[in-house]
Amino acid sequence: MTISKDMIAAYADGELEGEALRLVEAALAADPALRAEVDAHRALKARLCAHFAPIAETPVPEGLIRAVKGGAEVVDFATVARKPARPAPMRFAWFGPALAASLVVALVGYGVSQRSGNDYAVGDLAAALDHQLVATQPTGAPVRILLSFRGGKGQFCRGFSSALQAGVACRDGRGWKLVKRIGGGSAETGEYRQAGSADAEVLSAIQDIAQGPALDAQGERNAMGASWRTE
Amino acid sequence: MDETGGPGRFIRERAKKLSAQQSNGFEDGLLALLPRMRRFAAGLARNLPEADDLCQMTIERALRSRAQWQAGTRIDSWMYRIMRNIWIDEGRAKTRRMQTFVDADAGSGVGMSGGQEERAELTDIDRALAKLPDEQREAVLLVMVEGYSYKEAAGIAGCPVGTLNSRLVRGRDALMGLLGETG
Repeated sequence: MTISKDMIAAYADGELEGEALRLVEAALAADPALRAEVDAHRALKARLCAHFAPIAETPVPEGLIRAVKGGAEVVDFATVARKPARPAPMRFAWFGPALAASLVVALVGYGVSQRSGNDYAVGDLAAALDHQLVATQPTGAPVRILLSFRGGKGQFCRGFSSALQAGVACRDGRGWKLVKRIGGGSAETGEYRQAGSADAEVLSAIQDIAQGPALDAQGERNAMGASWRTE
Repeated sequence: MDETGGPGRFIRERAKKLSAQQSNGFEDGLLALLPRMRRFAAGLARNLPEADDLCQMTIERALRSRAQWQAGTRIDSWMYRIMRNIWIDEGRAKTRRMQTFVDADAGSGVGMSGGQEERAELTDIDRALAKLPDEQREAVLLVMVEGYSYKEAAGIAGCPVGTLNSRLVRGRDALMGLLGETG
């Protein structure tokens, strides 16, 4: 078969493998003209790289470094400024990056089941409380688990936040008892709610309920492994 | 429960530490990437001051969207994608503003960092690159200078691999012609 110019280029770029690679190598061994093509590709690449290399080797301007370092703070302050003048500035020390850009989108129709059960989580919320780990939950999860910890009786509790409601649920013999609920019903009006303010309320509620430190990733995994039961 | 030394403080300290770790990982990632970002920006923007403006805008947008970056995924291709999107948007606006009175050939100057004797050749490369359509130039830079695979480069440019490949082929052929590297 004939070797196309594209294949030579792909070979020079290190993109070939398997059969195609063997074909080109065989053709190159037999044809000096093809080898010259590969050399031309490599020479061009070397020229381009040499051209741009000095830029990556020069010190980065101070202004750009400041933009990275200072920018993070500016973003957080801006987020604070947009929030209602609520208490608890400490919430940003807690969860700054996670909260800063999190805007919870109300998902119409999601989680309606929660409202039927009054004191216990059901449906998607119960499922998230049972199966979602802080460390591995996806960024856009409909229910976000904020933190897991032990409550006054040593039982496992978890702070959560979703488009519909936020709060704290603690595990008992019946299931996840909602010990603190914040917000709710925003899906009915189709409003967008900024996650941060409710999250901050949840976090300060946790401070009142928690007995001991928050669970780390391993602690959460263990607790989930035991189905959140404490005997 | 003890009011001041209670669990609240434990949790707060722990969460603070976690959040600081995440934040530092992100910031450190950005800082480490800056030299490469400038190199890519210089190829796109055609001169260093413009390249640094592009870097600045990229950093700002990245910090605003940092929640979209998933820890554990590659921060470099994420940043490159942000940068090329800004560059495409800005480029369209700028082209509309500038087209009438600036010749495309006028933009050269990346080679300012080289030695005097290299300058002529460096300027040739700048001129040749400036003649390529934006998308071809981008493909050439991503693969030949930044060393991305076709697939990674396509991910950054937001196009299918086949499209990236044909932009690269056309861009590279044009460069070879302009620079006198015949295949």
